[in-house]
Amino acid sequence: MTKHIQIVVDAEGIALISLDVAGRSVNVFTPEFTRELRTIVDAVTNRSDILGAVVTSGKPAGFMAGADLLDFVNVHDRGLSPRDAAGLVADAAATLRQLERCGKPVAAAINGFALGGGFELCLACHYRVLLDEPKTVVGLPEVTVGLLPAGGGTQRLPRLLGVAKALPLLLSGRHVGGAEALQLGLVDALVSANDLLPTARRWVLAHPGYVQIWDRKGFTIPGGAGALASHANESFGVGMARIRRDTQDNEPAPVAVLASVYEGTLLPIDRGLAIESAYFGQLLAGPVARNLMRTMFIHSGPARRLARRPEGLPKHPVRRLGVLGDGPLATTIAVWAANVGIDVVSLDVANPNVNYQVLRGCDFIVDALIDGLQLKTSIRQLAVEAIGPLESVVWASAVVEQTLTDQAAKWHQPEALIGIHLPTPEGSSKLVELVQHATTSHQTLARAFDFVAQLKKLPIVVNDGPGAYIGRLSRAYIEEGQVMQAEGVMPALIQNAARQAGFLNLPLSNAVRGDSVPPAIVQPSLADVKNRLLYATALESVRCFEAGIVTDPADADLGAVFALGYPKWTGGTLSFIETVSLKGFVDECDRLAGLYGDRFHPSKGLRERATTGQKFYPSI
Amino acid sequence: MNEVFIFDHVRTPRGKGRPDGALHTIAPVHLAASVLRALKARNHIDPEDIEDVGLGVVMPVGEQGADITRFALLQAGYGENVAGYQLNRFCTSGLDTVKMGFGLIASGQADAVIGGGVESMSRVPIGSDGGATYTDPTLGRDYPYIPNGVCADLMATLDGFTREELDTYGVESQRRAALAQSSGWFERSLVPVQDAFGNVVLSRDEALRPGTTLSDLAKLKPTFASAGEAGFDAIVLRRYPHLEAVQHVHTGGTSSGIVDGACAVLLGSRAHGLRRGLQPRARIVACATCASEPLLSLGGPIPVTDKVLARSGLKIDDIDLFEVNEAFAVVPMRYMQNYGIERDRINVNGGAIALGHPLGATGAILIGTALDELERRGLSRALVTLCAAAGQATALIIERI
Repeated sequence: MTKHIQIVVDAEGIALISLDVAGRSVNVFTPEFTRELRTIVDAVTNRSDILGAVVTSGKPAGFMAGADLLDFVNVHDRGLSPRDAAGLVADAAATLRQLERCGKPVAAAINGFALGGGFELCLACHYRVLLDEPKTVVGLPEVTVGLLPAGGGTQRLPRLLGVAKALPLLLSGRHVGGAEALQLGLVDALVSANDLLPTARRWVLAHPGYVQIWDRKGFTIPGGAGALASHANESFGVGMARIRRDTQDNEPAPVAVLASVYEGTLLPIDRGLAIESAYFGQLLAGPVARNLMRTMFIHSGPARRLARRPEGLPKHPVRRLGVLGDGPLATTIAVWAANVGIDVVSLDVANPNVNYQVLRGCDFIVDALIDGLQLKTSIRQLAVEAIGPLESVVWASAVVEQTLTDQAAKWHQPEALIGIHLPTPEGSSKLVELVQHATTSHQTLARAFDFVAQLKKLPIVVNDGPGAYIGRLSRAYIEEGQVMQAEGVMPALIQNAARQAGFLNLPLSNAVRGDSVPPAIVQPSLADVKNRLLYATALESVRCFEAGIVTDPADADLGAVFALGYPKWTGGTLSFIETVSLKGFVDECDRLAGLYGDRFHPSKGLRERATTGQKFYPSI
Repeated sequence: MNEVFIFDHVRTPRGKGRPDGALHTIAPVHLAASVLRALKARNHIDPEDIEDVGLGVVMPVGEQGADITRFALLQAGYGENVAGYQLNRFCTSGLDTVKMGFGLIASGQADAVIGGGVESMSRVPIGSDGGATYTDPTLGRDYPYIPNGVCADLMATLDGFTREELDTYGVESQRRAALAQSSGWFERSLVPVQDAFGNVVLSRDEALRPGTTLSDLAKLKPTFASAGEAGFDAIVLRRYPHLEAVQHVHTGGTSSGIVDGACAVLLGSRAHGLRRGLQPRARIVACATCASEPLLSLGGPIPVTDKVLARSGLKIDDIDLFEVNEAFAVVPMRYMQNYGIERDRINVNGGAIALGHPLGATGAILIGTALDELERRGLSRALVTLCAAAGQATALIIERI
């Protein structure tokens, strides 16, 4: 009796295999699911009353996602060897290979998204029919979380499409919609819901004893493989250069994908699958995949779904937004809000004829006034008089210059006051920092979360202090660059080191670079310049954490990556420390402090962590 | 160690390495056979004397593959009993066959050998042989291949050579080659190539652009900017992080030309010359090969020159003429700058920028070019060197008798 997969054999001998993992809204590979799949495959292989099979999903939500990343994210922390890490998916991969070689035709009736391992299952089938609906996508996104598709994806996709067409998909991990999937050859047919199963069944009935094309004698990779293929220079030579340019050698996954495809497509498929497994094991056992999975997926998902919004309060989206100020910050917020359909009133308070009456009816005011506190307070007073009773209005300050606590002291409704910081005034950031002060109410915080959700941005929430969290982090990073420049480190070396470390934004602005000092005769090593930038920023993050400015390690990491552009491969500032190891980080801080200044001295708390091994993140 | 002499040298004219080039219809085995045949005829070679024959071939695949030397020898009438091999160390290959021959004779293992090279770039284009260095991702991660043009631009950036300085060099290379050609200074070594009817298809180097001016070259686009952007610049900046950027300054006017051609050099011992009544034209003084920083790729000629000078006990001022292969203008320019050599001692009759660079043959061609010019000027010593990809280089010093 199976719990996660149903099999029904019809009068014509076609087995309908329905994937429906119990207790999950979406199908994923679990050890129990894999065991059942093997039983089912054995049945299809051995039962003489079964002539072929159609695989579909019993879930309304989609066909199947891949592995559950929660099963993978702790592999590095558990200290698994690459071989043992690869072993975690070996059964699933072997089962897919068995399915492929069962000796009978198998079609996938893909009735919803099929991603990662879910699409690899489809690739192990002999024929793919995709539901023609706008939201239905297929793809192998593993590379985006630092992994590679280990269920045969790097081997079957190039055998199906050719290396030149497969590599861009494997290296970007992008989702492909139905029409393009058909055109690329990722699926064989695109049909409406009513035709899905009949199309799959017809194909199965018409292809008794089907053998997968790459298991037939004389099979060659479409377009050729290896160093002498006509596409080799573009696929592998320029391809490698592109990867190294884009990752600066910080992310091992794209190289592993390329190597797995390059080496595996020169071999029979079973030998190729073994190559793929070895590269996968190395990735999964390493820290970068852990960092990418944890920060880019496991943490950013809940943050986007407002996991830290106070519970039990009704949704309260902004209906009419007032924006005070005329700078780029005010413009960005107004444009963001207008783009998502919020009624926006912008008020240029510098205009002597400004009419505060237009603010009437606003339930959320963003104050982007960069003036001093005195002037700001008087402007606010004018606005308040115009709006009338303030009970239902949230007052959000977008400027970092004054602390919220100082602002609240001059404000009669401090509980309705909150900070909303955009890391970059021009609005390039995906993240918004919400700053609460001692008396910000839960209602205010919840409504600020709702506003950020309307804007489709990623919120983190921090406590008040000068510069709050992002501002302090950013200053630490930029100041370290400027200190180095003042020491005579060549600006190009500073910028290149930042780029090579993986920072999205460079520490020296063009303006700062103008008044550069003459370069010192002895230049520091590239490694030292990189480490000064990485460590100075991470140390500031720790100080913010210890001071209670940022209270959740996930927020600390998300803020670093999404607001500052701290290298993605590190997973963020706190994850970086754990990547280096607490002890290794403290030792390097001591070395840097000896060479470059006291600001690198680790705090007492950090030293204690290094001694006791107490990480920022509890093990999952 | 036995003394090793150069008795003779022949080469084909270099044809444009394109479908409309004069040598495009000539298969590489026949191109190689034509120089071997001419060398045999000019020196009345008795095949029995020849211990071994090596040809440099950088794309030893397709019709240039499968040990083309052995079959060119059969085709050229050396009978059935002369052995031949192919050799590939990128651009030094032709010079390396001379080095191998030098070793055999010097060590007493041979009386006479032939070195040389052949490359039909129009028929077996660059890249035909594949290679792990271009495609294997795990190798590329640790020891990246960088297109040589990007390396040339990197070297120019590191040493501060400007586009105008490079272009000036390119114009002068054209001027010198044109003067040497019109004055007949290449004639002594040239063997016209004939087709199946016996008609001459090419009798003089074809790729020159006489009259090239600075303003002509200024119009050309940097050849390697797009490869740089594709990712190779980012890779070299990982090793040279103090550079703002790679300046892409080389163009078609300051890079070696793609051509077809072949050459052969007859080496022998003193006894061989006496026995066959051949007059030695020069002695090989010393040779050396080295490898250096692989990412710069073209940086080998300087360390290998230091090495060969040390080995020979000579100083840079003891050398009368230099042939430093013009793979890219920056290579000889950097060489001159490093040793303080005046422009009138180096590549005096132009070089690969004007005449072309048939990859496997060039090394051996340059020996003949240097020797002919030493004789014409009544000078004594020349040093020949070429860079080979991934930081390698070979150098060889000859001295007239």
